[in-house]
Amino acid sequence: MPVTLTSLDDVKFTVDKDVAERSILIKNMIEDVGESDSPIPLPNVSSAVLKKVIEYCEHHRNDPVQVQDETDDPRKRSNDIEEWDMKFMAVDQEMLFEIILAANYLDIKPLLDVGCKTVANIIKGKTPEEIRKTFNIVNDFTPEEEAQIKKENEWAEDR
Amino acid sequence: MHFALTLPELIPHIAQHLDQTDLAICLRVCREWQQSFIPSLYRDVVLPPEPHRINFQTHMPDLHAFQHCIHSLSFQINVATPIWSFAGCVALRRLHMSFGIALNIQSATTELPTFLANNGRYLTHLILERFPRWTMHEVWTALAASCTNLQTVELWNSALDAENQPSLWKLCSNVQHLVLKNVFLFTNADSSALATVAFSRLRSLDWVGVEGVSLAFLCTDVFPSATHLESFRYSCHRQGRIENSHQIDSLCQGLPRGSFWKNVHSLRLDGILDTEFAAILRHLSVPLQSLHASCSGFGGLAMGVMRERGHFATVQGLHLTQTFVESQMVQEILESCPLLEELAAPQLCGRDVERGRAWGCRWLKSLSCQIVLDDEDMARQQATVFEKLSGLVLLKELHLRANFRASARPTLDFRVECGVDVLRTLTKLTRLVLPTPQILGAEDVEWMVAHWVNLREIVGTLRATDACLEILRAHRVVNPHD
Repeated sequence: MPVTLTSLDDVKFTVDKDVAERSILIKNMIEDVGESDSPIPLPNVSSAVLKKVIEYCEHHRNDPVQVQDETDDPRKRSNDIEEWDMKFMAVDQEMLFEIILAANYLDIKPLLDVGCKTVANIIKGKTPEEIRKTFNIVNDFTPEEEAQIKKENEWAEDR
Repeated sequence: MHFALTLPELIPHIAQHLDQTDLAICLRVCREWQQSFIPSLYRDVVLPPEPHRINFQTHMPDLHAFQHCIHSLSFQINVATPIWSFAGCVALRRLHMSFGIALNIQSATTELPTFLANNGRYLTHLILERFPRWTMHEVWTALAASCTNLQTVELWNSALDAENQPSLWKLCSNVQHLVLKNVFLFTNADSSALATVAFSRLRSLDWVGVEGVSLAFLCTDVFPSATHLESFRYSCHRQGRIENSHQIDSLCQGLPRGSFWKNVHSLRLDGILDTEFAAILRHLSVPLQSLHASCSGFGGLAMGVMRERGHFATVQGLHLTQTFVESQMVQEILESCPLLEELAAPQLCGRDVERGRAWGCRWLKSLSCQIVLDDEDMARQQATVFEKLSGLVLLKELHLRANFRASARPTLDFRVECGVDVLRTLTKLTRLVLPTPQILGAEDVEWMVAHWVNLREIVGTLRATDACLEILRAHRVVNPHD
C-alpha cells in the first residue's frame, strides 16, 4: 500500500509503505494512526532533501535491519562506505548536512551513519585551520587560548 | 558554519568515527566545538605510561571533570595514578590495567580496591596485564568483590599463586568470554577443586599458553558447568612435544566422559597433531561452524572425520594455513562446503581444479590461498580457475599467497588478454592481494575500475605506468607498495 508524504514546501511524494517505513518516525506514525489515506506531513524536511532521502530508502528497501554490536569499533568501519552510498553522498555541503538533519529527524539510522561517516572523513587528517576553512567556521579563540587547549590535549594527540 | 554542526546531539555521531588525534584537533576549532567534542574525547582514555612524570593539573586538567564520560580506560598501575580518587566513572565499561615499572606497589594495593569499589560495578570488560605473582592478595579479592557485572575477562602475561586463584575464578564465574594468555597458575599439593564456582554463562574460552595446570583441569573443573560454551581456543608453548601430547590426551579422554561440549561449534587449536584433531572433532556434538587449525598437524585424518561427521555441510569458516592440507583437499572443501564464507588454505593447484567438480561455496566472502598452475597447461588451467572464481559473486577479499618453495611456478595473471574478463561478476571485491609482480596496461586498469567498483586496495607489486596507477588512485584504489 502506498503512503503519501508532504514536505515543508507542500510537495507530495507517494512511496511504497516498506520504503517509507525505513524511517522509524514514519513507521511509528503509521502504527499510531492506523491505515489512512491522509498524507503524512514532514514539516522539517524540504522537497529537495525529501527526494534524496526517498532515493536512499528505495535503494536500501530490502536491507536487513541493523543490529547494534557494542563490541564493534565504529572507527574501523568508517572507510567501508559502499560504492552506491559514496556516490549518493557526493553532494554539496549544504545538502550533506540537510540529509544528516533529515535522517536524524526521520530516525533513519543507516543514513545518519553514512552521513556522519562522510563528515568524519572530511575532518580526518586536517588541521584546525583547514577544518575552519572547510566548514566556514570562525575562530573565536585567542592564539594563547588555542595553544593552551593544544597543550591540555597532547595526551590524546600523541597516540 | 552549518546549523547541523552546532547541534550537540549530532556531534557524538560524527565523533564516533574519529580517532583520538582527530578529536583533539576538533577541540581547537572553536568554542562551540570544544564543548561538543570534549565528552567524545574522554570516552576512551589511555593514561601516559609514567604518570609520576606528568603534571596532571596542566596536562589533563579536564580528566577529573569529565570522568563521567570515560567509557574505556587503560593505565599502568603506578603510585601517582591520578584516577585513584575518582568515584564518578559511571560510564566506565572497559578497564585495562597493567603493572608497569613498580614504584610503590603498597600504595597501589591500598588505593586500587577503593577505586574498584567506587567504579567497578558497571564494568563489563576487564583486562589485566603483567600481574606478577607477588600481586597482593587484597588486589585479587577487591577485583572479585567489586567487579560483579563482567562479561569479558582477559588475563595476559601474569602469574598467580594458589591462594589467589579462588579470587580469579570467582571474578570469572559469571563471564561470557574468558581469555587466559601466557598465564602461570602455581598449584600446591592441597589446591582444592573449583566445586563452588560455576561457569554457566561462559560462551567462549581462550586457553593460550597456560602453564602450571593441565588440560585435565578444564575437563574436571570448568567444562562440566560451562554448558553454554560455544567456542574454545587452545594453544600451548611448544617446549616439549611429549608434555603437550599428554595434555591433549587428557582432553581427548576427558571429553567423552562428561556430558559437556554440547554447544561447542567453534574451535581454534594450534600446534596439535592430526590424530589429536581427529579425536577432538569426533567428540563434537554440534555441527561445526568455524575451525582455526593454522600451524598444526591438521591433515588427512582430521579431514576424514570432518567428511564423515557431516561438518562440511555446516562449516562457515576454515583457517588451515600451515597445515598438511593438500591441494586436492582444498578443491574438495570448495566443492562440498555450501555455507563456507571464509577459507584460508595452503595451496590449490590448477590441475586439481580441472579434475574436480564445480565449486559449491556460493557464499564465500574471503579466499586466502596459494594458487599454482603447471607451466605446460598454464593458459588452460588459468581459464578453469577464473571460471570457478567467477561463481563466487560475494567475494570481498581474494588473497593469493606466495609460497617460497614454489615461487618459480606460475600463478594467476589478472590481465584482459589472460581472460580476467570472466571475473566481471566479482562486483563486491574490495581487496586483492597478489603474491608476484603483476603487469597491468591501460586496458587492464580501465577494466578493473569499470567492473570492480568496490575495489579499494591491491596489495603487491604492480608493473604499470604512472598514468595507470593514477587511474587506480582516482578511483580510490590504493596500492600499499607504490
